[in-house]
Amino acid sequence: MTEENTAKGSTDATANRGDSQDRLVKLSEQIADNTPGVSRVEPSLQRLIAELGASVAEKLGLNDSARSKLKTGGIRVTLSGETAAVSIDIATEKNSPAVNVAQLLQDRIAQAIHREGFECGKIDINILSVES
Amino acid sequence: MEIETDSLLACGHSLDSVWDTLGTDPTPHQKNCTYCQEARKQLTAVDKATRELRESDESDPQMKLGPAFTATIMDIARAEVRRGRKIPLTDGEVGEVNISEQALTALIRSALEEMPEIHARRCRIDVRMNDSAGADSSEPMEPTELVPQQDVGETMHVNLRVATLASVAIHETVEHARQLVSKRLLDVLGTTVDTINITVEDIFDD
Repeated sequence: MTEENTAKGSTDATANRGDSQDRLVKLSEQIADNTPGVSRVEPSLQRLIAELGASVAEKLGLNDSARSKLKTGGIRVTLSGETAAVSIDIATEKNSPAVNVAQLLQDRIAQAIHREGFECGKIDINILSVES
Repeated sequence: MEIETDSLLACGHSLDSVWDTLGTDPTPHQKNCTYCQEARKQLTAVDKATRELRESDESDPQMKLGPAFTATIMDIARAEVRRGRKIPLTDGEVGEVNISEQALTALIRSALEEMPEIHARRCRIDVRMNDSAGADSSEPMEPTELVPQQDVGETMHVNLRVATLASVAIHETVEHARQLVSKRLLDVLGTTVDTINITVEDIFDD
């Protein structure tokens, strides 16, 4: 393999990794939104900035790579080899025991990670608020 | 003294000094200096354009933040405040479940709102490793062992300072408050803390 091909292969791998990370973030968000007892995924300033669009990112001096990292602000997905770990901040509803809700969410995200072809690392759930 | 030579005019006066006099009469030096007069002319154009842009932004509805965007910003601000200290609730094979200290203390305070004869004041949550549980003697008030947390290597202790109504029996009131907090945490979280220490630091009249 030539040096150029090696460099291209490395770039492709990095891009695929970024795509997988984005996909797992979106999946985790969808799962949380559809898990009974989860009131919402807590927003983060990082995600807002990432979602405001390219023109705002440019004004803030953020390149695509930096924007991509910001997208994982509220839901953080870490890929290490073939293992995916997730940390997610949520608000829960008062009528559903928060620990049960969080454990159900952990199980559902773990299943999704396996379906995506990754080994499941730690799935940490942070309850930032209990809504009445 | 370091001088920013880039903003100095050929006459030795700075652009900033000319800028500061815009909107007022030229200084005696500026009246006789072509460099300063030219700078005034150009800076006046910049100043005018800046004002026009600012006024245009203020009157342009497109430049105003919509209520939805403002609400989003406020939601984020509130979430950031809640992203403070995390208290572990469970630590299973799959991962941890944590609750923010702010959410936990809010639950404790809301439980005590059902008791008008008691006013919650400071609430502190201590998390200790299991092997040192009970070693802290800073809060010696009648610790009561409750349902332990699940699978967590630490124990959680609530230290609550309250004021009670002068006419009530303090011991019974405090015990009732402790049970109320414990039940609320069990109902809402599905688990509870290891110890609830309550210190009555004041009494109040009707």
